[in-house]
Amino acid sequence: MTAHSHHSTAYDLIIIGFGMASHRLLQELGQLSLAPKRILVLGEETLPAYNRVLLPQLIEDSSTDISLPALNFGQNIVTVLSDEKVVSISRQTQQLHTESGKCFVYRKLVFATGSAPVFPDFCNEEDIAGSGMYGRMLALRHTGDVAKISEFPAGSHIVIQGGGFIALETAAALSAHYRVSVCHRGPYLMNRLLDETASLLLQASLEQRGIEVLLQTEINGAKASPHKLQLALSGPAGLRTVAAELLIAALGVKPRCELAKLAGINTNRGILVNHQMQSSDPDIFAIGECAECNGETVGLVAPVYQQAVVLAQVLTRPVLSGQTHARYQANTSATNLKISGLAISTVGDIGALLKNTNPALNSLVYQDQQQGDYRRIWLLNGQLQGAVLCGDTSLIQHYQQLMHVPQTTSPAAGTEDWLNTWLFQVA
Amino acid sequence: MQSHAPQNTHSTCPYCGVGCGVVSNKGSATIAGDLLHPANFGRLCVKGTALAETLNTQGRLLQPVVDGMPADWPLALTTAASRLQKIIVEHGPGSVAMYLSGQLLTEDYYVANKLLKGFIGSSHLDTNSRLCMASTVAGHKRAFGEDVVPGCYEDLELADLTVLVGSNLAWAHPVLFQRLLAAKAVSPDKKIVVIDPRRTATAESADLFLPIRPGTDVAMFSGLLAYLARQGQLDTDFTEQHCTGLTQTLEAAQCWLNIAQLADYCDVPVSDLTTFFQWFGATARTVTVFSQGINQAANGTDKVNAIINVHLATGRIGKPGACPLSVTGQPNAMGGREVGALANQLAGHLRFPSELTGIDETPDAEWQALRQFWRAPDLVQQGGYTAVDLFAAIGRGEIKAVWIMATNPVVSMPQADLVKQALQRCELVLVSDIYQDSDTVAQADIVFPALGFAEKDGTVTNSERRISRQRAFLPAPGEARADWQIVCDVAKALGFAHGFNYQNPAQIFREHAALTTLCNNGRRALDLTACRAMSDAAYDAWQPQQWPLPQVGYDSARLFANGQFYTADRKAKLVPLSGLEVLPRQGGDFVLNSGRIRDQWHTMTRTGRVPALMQHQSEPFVAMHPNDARRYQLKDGDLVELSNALGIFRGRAQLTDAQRCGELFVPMHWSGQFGFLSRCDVLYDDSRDPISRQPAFKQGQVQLKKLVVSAELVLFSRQPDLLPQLHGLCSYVVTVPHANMTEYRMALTVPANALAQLISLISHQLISAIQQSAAGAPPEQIQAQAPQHWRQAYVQDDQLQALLYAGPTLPALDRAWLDQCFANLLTATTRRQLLRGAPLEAGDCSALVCSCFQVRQQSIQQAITKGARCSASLGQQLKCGTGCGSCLPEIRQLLQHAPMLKI
Repeated sequence: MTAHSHHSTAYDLIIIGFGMASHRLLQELGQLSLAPKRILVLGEETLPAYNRVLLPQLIEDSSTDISLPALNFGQNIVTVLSDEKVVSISRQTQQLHTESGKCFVYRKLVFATGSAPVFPDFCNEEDIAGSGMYGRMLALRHTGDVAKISEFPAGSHIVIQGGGFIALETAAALSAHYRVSVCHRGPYLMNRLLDETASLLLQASLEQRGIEVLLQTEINGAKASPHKLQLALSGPAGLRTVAAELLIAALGVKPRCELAKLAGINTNRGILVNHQMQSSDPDIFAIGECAECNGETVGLVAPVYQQAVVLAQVLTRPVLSGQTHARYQANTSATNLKISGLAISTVGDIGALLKNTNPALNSLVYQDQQQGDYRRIWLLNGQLQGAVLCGDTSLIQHYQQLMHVPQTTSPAAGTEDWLNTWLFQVA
Repeated sequence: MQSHAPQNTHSTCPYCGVGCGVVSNKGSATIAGDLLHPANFGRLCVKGTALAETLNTQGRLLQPVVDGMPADWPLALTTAASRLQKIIVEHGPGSVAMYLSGQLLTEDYYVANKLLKGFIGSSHLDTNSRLCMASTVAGHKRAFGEDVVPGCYEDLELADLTVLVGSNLAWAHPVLFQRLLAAKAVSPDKKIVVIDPRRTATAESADLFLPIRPGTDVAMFSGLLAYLARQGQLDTDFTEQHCTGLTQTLEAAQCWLNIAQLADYCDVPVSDLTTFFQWFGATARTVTVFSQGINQAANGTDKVNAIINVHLATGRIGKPGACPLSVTGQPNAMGGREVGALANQLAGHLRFPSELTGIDETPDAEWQALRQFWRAPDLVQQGGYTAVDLFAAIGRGEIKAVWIMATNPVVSMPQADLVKQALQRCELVLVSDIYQDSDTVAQADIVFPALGFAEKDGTVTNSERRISRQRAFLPAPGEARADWQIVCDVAKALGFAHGFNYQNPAQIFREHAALTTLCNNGRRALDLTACRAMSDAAYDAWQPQQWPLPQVGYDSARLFANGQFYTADRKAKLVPLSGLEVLPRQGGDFVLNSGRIRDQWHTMTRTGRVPALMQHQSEPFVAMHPNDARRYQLKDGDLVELSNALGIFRGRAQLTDAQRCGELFVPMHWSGQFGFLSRCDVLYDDSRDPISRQPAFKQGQVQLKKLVVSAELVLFSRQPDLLPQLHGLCSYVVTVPHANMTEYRMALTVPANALAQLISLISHQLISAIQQSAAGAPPEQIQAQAPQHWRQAYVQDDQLQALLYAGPTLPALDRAWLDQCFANLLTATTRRQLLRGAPLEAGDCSALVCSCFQVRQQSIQQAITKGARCSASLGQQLKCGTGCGSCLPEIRQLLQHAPMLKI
């Protein structure tokens, strides 16, 4: 990375966090000649921003390239400081202070602090910091976590708590070298993103790889020794103790907004921002997993990138006055789970659709069990509401587009080929 | 018999009465038109073109069956003979009957007639020609004194005016129609008038179309006669010298003289009727072609005579381009008539004593001569039961044994359900057939496997009195035998060896020829003197020739030109006719007409096996006028039920303004093998012509009901025999065979909330059928489902086993593609598109127009959109219409941007 070091403590723009959101914002700004000139990026990790989505692949194959595209800063002077944690912000003076005692002045400030993993209730601070439980407990958030996992010898028993995306991709990645169990409290895997049939297909595919799937199972406690980890499980089979080498928590994430809260910026689950990614302080912005726009936080790459694009334009706005304001609109985007041998894609809020009892809500299903193909879509008055695809996921782009096609132009139910149009047509 | 087939075998087509010559190449499975045959000069219709596809042995009877068990010939023959003997001893010879077919060769017919009438001594021998030609036979006999067709096919080409009445020549006799159109193309001034209650494909080519009210033909032709008389356009020289009855006939016709009243009665525009009369009056060279629309009526014989009256009165008979011309439905309807295979005929145009009483001094002379000739002491002396009465006598238990050959009366007879019951009750039912699975074979006690068209040797006579050879070019399948051979075998087993010791069909033909010379001396036209000493080699080398053949080389193209007829006084007889229509009796809201469709033949036992022929019309239908449909809230394709006290028929509504209001048309072809409640003949009562005893298939009476369908279901399966399982589960099901699978089209009428359960029941049955045929392994399933829609595929070892689509509407199914999916191992891509019903790069799934080249409506319309302006240019681009040409009327309709005529 080429970063011009600059010794002045005042910056046109300071970005807290150097993850994927931050990286994309810099990429966008680099292409805008009217963007803030002097930029400071403060990252917690020692590495430059990398593709976090690929961490499970990195477990499976240590040669996986997780780097993001090289940045071209154009006219801007960008300073990146790694391993630099911000501890406080004074909005009156537009100053921020780091753990190492540095102080910087900003004109515009962007929070790109991302999110933190959720840990089980029985964990204490030490466990979460990674120093408790003899290092037998972690969440997959950083490359460091990958390194820790790789220290466990092949054949070790690894229990993953959680039944979502990260949990399952991690489980699949680990299954090549380890004995893996997945403990999920829900009735079936990925119960907020998939319907039961798709989930069972997924489960069968995981079980085929030797992964043990324990449903409706809670981990009530863990006891660690230097050599072993004892987990107390309660599930359909009752209470039992399971021995393992490592527990990976994959219970989801929560936006990191404590610092913003301390600074008196309005927060809820995340840092509250408007459609220009602007917080309650006009000079302070937030993007990525730490931001909450219109009641929604995001956890996928695509909307984060959209936010970065919007913010880059917003930050150049004073010079571009008279032009239409850039505006972030939470766009329904597809989710793709890629476990070798089984592709799963979804679009729409499947969890909500499954609970929806509106009799006008139709669902269309295609299944070829042998082939591992499964499609289910939901329609309300001829408008696509959501889709789950397994196996052949080639239609997902088509569905993603149809999610935004107004009802009048979409094929109506009851016509001769509505089933063909919805379940078999190619984009 | 020929032991091996030569390079090219010349034979005749086994379908309609045109009697086209065909050539089979190298005994292989390719069949082409015979360029030299005078009936067709190389032309073939779509059915003839597909003949080769009917030649496989699938479904054929390969050995005799006795009481449902396979048997060898000795067992079958002795069982048949002993059971017949027992019945004859207990109940007399009159308790035995035969029901024959225009599919039989003259030689088969001859020996059957000889056995029953001459040796067993029963006169209850009738044929399915009764359903088809009897009125013409009766009309000919009344007018000419003998059943003789006066003209020939060439007359169609020579005529300046051709009147087609009660004949959909374009579809029922396509080759003759093509000859007519070809002549008109050369001389466009030639006129064609079509008289038919339906605007058929034939009518589309007419210069004048008269959509007559059914049953008013006698009035129309009587009116024509009266008109011609008033105009002074009768040939008085001819009538004075050669006819009787003109005065009385004209008197009877006078009441139809007022054209306006007549037009009103016949329900045709007065101007059109006037035009027809004027054209007829002004055109010496007039041919009137008539067929089942005339014959199949309660006054069919009168209709025939009404037509002949006009031709006699104008002297237009036996002259080039001028004659009444009956075209028969079957390949050998005429041959059967020649050997006397009708209950009211004796043999070889010889007459019963009762027929000659008052005409001849020794009325039993011909009968005596035959008795001696056959050395048949038990020769019957009078006629027996005709078809309808024959089956009624079986139903009453009066006839205890019946032998049915080459026909399917359970489908084709009126009161078809009663016929089925009668056969179920009959003590002994013998059936000779070539297929295992006809509705009639199902009722048999003893089944004899017979030879099919490609394996047979003998003669047939077509509609212009032309005798042609059918020659074998394929070996007999299994143990099948020639029909004449089976008859002779049974005759021998009955102890009649001396009368049935024939070595080959030539020997039988010579005997038949000799028989025509008995007491003849010019008394009868049917005279085959030239053939009675013909050698076997000459028989084998026989070239198509017309009778009479009093000597070799005799010109028999036209008869009666000399004014000599075969009545006692040698004069033709004009028949005075009332002309009042005879109304059917059943009562109902609609008049029911029935008949042929373009690509099918009879009860589909052959054509139904040819996928290409099943596409033009794949389901039984009910053609009706849109106004009638509106009253019943019907749209095209809706399921309707026709019923009366006799039975029920179900089919798809087909809306067409080619149909008159208040009148329906249904196809006669579907049987219990192809559908459930698909036999239209269950709706016809025993109404029949009092003279010819021919049933009135053109004028049934029915009620109509719309069936409320909750879901349409189409099932494609490797299993060809699911029909019996399926018809218990749905209100309507028909099968459509394809090359690699069988299609079942069904309609479900259960309430919508019970559909899911019914579909799962059907799929359950399907799975167990697949499992049974595949050693117990359950098939993989592919499913697609939406509210009220179900689609399922069943796969085993990458082979498609079955496909099911159900819902209120169905997707456009590319059946050609689906059929291929059954043929090949499935790829992942194909597999993913199966339930779509068509590949993504979809082909043309629209209605099939040209069967010969499989050209569909959409392709034709596209070509028209791109600028094709005539059928010739469409033919150049797509080849459509360049085969048999029977789709040309439909192509012309598409060119006119009119909705396609389907009936």
